[in-house]
Amino acid sequence: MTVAGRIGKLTWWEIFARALLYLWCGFSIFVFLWVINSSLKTNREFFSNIWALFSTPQTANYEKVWVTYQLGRYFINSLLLVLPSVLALLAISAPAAYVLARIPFPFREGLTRIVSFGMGIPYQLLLVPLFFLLFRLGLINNLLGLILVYVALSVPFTVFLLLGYFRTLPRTLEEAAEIDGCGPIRTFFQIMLPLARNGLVAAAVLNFVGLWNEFLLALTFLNRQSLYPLSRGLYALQGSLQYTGDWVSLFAAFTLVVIPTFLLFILLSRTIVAGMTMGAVKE
Amino acid sequence: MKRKHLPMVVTFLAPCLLLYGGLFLYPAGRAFYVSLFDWSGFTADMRFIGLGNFQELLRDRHFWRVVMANSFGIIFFGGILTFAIAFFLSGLIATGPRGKGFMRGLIYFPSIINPVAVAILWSFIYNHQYGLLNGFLRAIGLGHIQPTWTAPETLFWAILVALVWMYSGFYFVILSSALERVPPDQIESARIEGASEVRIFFSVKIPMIWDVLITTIIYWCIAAVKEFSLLYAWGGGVDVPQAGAQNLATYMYITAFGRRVTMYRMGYSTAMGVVMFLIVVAFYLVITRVTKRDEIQY
Repeated sequence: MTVAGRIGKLTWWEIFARALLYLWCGFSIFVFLWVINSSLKTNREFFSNIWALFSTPQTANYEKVWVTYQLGRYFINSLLLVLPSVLALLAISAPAAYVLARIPFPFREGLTRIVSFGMGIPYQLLLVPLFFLLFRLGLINNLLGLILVYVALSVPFTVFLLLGYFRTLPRTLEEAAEIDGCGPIRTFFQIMLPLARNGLVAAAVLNFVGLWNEFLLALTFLNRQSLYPLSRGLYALQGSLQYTGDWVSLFAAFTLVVIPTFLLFILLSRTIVAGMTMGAVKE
Repeated sequence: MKRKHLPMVVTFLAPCLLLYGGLFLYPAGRAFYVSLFDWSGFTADMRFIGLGNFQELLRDRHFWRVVMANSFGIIFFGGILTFAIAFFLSGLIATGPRGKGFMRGLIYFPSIINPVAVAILWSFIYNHQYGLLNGFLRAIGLGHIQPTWTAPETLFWAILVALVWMYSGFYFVILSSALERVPPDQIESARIEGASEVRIFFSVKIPMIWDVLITTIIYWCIAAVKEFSLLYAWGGGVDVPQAGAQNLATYMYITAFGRRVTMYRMGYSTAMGVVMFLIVVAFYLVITRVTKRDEIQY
């Protein structure tokens, strides 16, 4: 780029690009650090100067939201909801995706299209009918009810994602297995499923993150505080803490909610990104 | 089909299709039926009113001036901002700065934070007296300018900024990894022929990532139409979101289930759900028709 000119080894454009990137990232880092710092102050400290560093770390803020405001309870509820949902989702979606991807049978194309169709339906369309369906089944205010809903609503995306993975496996694998006298069901469990491991992990992680942050359905189908998952609980907590003007506890709650996501992200960012780009590229 | 495969096909598909059919497709289909009724939900009598709910929506000024305006504002302005930032950041990161992987992660991170937490975070940023923005203005000597960022007139835009901050990282990751797969020799040969960087972006890179781009745009439209969490959680536990935070998703929710203001208008609410579905279908059809690949020749 001769037009742009140079300083040292970098072009002006590269310097400008770096500056903007650092600004964008710096903003996020600064905001997060500011919240964590504020969460360790007393309310009096915070309101007298929002920029000052905390003097003695107020771990009591954390204890308060975790115990008194039951954030711990909400965490456990979220785990009880999301882990079984993800497991059940994979257990029913992987076989379905496999059959749709690799076994020829009538109406296969049509069925695949019907399942993928769900990805384009906003949940709001079925919110009211689903509420009364669950109501009749006695599954309102019931973790199992919400698990079933989570699984059903996540089927389209998960099957679609796994379908992409199964399609990439070479045909010869099944032929070789058949010649060796291995039945199709055994072929699935012993050969194909392990080979699609990356896809399963990606599907598990993406669904875990999505369901962990889910708010609308939890808000609609769970009204009992002892059952609130994290989003719903945090929403309730925000209401009461803002009302009492207890900002530092709200900062602590924010930190407690974000840190596990952050750790998960550090551990699994590669899987998340791989799964996301896979989903987008496989049309 | 080989006959022996039939039991396997059935057993492998049955659990998935039963659950999907029973708890997804069936209520989705029933929504169209429910939208034709005047129904409070908890009583047995559903009064059939044909397209009455939709006629009422057509006449409802609040629905058009606030709810639809906000929904389409998110789709269009939010979409333009999100994609512009995602492309821009992709360009910036492609210059290969130090700490590239770290920054990529940091840009992406907001899109996996709990949206209720994001709403709380931005309330810290926007707060009139103790918020970061006004605190920053004071710190740089502009203490006489202390805007109320979340005043009724600007609330929508304040939320939109938070929304774009939250989502742009997701689109950035998808678009930048697609851009990285564009073969470098194509770009190089365009450069040798004297094409400007802008020209290369629109005439080489965009056509090369066309399929990904279209998929992502459709995905954005769906996500933007159903965006609920950040808007509903905005302001915290007030149950009825302020006008700037009312879009189709939040408005249909309070129409059916709102707690402080009890409306319980199940049919009317579901009619809005049908509208949301139709918007997605319309966008899908328009985008896939208009952007047929062979129309853009390179």
